[in-house]
Amino acid sequence: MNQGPNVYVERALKKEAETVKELPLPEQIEILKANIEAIPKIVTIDPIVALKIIKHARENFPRQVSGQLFGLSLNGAVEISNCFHSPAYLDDNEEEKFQIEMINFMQEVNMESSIIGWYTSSRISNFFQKSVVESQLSYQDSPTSSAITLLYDPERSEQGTLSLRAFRLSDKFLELKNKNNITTLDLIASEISYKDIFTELPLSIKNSSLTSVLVKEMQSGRINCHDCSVSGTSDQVLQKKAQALLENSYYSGRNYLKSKSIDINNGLSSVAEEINSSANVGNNISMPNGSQTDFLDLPNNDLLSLQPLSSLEKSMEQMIYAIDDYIQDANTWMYWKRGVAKEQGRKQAYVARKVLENTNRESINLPPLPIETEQELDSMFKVLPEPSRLDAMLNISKLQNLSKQTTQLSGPAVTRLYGAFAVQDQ
Amino acid sequence: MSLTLNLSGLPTSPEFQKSIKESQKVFVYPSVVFSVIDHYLKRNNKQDRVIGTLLGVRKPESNVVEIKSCFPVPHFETDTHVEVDMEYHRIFYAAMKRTHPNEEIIGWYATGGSIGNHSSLIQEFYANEAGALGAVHMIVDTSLESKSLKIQVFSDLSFGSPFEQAGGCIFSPLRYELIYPEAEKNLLQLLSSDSGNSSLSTENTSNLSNENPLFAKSAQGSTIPFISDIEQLESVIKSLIEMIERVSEYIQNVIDDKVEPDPIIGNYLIDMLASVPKIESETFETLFQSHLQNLLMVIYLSNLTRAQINIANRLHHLN
Repeated sequence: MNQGPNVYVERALKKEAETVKELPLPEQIEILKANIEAIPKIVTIDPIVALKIIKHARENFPRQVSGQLFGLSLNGAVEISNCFHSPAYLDDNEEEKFQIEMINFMQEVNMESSIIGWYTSSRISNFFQKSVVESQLSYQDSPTSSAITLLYDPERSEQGTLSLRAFRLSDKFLELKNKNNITTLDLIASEISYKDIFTELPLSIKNSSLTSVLVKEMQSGRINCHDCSVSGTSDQVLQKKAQALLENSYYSGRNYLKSKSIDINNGLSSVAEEINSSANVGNNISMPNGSQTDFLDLPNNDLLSLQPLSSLEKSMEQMIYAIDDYIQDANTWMYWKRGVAKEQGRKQAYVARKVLENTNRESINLPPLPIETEQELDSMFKVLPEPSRLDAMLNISKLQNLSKQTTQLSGPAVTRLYGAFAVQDQ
Repeated sequence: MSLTLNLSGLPTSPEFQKSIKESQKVFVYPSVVFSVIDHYLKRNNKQDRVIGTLLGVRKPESNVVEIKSCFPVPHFETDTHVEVDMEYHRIFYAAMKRTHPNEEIIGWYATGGSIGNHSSLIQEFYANEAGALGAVHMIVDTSLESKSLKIQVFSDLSFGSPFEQAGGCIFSPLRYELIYPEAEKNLLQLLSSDSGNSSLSTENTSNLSNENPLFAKSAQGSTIPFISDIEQLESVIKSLIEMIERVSEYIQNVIDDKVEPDPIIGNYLIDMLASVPKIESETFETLFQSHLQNLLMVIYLSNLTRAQINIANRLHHLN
């Protein structure tokens, strides 16, 4: 993954080197340096961005959501510090108005207000689509622009792994963008492969000191005030943790455990459970006893559960669809190729007939008939334009990403399986 | 001047208000606290505290308030004077309403260790906005005055005579709970791996940090890279092994009479051991084998697909 951006930078370097060849050397270096630095190589996001995207995506699940990212790009590092969701069902005009309004608001409270890209929530299989490419193109109009697309997969994230990835269009693809119909010849000329439509950038989260304090406090459970007293002492917290453990114990129905401990009326837990279950997208994988604790339980032990294979099933299903599409596309292309060959054959037959006729006429001393020029022939035998290869390319990228994801999912699944084996062995 | 309490209209009497508010439950989503911190970090120069509007959902039947999101509101205050940009609040709320139509005004937040000077005035404004059920006030101690990032949630009990405009209110603390849905939990886990796994994060960024000061680990915080499924699983298994080691150490100590045995822990351990389902070893073997074979098949097929498309791509660029 680390290799991707480097290759990307190298290519951009070469390209820039060609454009500034005429200038004197020091200036060349200067320009190159500035340009190379401007190309994003790494993306950092603020936790608040991730949290806002997660919330927006969950509340609208399964509808796809999108929104704007705000931040700045400096020396190849893109920092996304804020985001705002676009309202659904707006026409372009209204949306633009909304955006300008939002930007003004952001400025008033010192929020970052320059747009640096956009985010969308969808499965990886829905990401490789013409519409996504077009939206990204509208942000990333030059090779040095630093627009980013963040892709958030709500389904996978609710099942154990936070899936948030940063993409931008590769410069190879940007060269092709002006053609509305990409043909095979174009593809060969640009040496673009299915892997090069999008470049994935390494993504990391930037934690400020205050937010890391917050996370630590959440983990310790000190932050909740059940009994309305000011944050509990460490003894109280320990007691609460023990209590939570007992409440979630396997035989929590049997009261002998509870009676031994101090009875803390945990009336909140049932309501919290309800909210928690309504908050989760993947309801089917909730914990058996509805383990609601009043502290952040880390690390997330749900990861050890053998269940989350449903996503594997889904991605396999998607893969089958993608392969079907691929075959269909190959068939259309073959059909087109046959059509072209047929027309070509007819053209040649026509010319051959003319030539034969002329030799016949020559033998009986008649002037030869004029043979049409290439252009006239072309207009007589219309060759259909080649179907755009873009869709096929996107489909292959999708397939590639899906199979990668499948491997990524099944790796841990095998490990978990062996874990279960170890437990049974004893 | 004597203070008269009007008890005639019972529903508005303090006792009644109190009884409602004591049973009120507040649930806070983690993103709200993060937003407040974010707002605080971006405050103006010489500004002591920031305030904003809390949005969320009320469920009157179970007396539950969920605080789901919030937005900042600019304000200006001195010792004697406070101004809140109400226009800003209204327009921003309307904008929020377009994307989250079911969220309404719940109350307001402020930063600081205790309730600020003009809070009752601001509370009055939000009580009007929030409607019949009253406004909730949340304060987050972002300046760590109490040596911790204390979060407090209050509701107001208004007092004063109905004939006088200048009443006041008492802030009474409410019980609240932070809730962690699955996706947020994953994110927070990533954030918490910051200190524990710092070697991992520095390793990945170190080659960049030499040339770019932005990546350098500074006192302002640190960057944590996203990790893959298998790495996450690894960390969980590691912590599991650690837990098992801790437990066996405890048991060994109990056996050696070094530690006083605790019946609660004992019972809990029995529970845990009993939670392992008993399966016939033969049945388990067949289950295990078939499941494993399925998985391996899936891996094989997906790799095959990838190989195929790679070949197709090579063919494409052959001529």
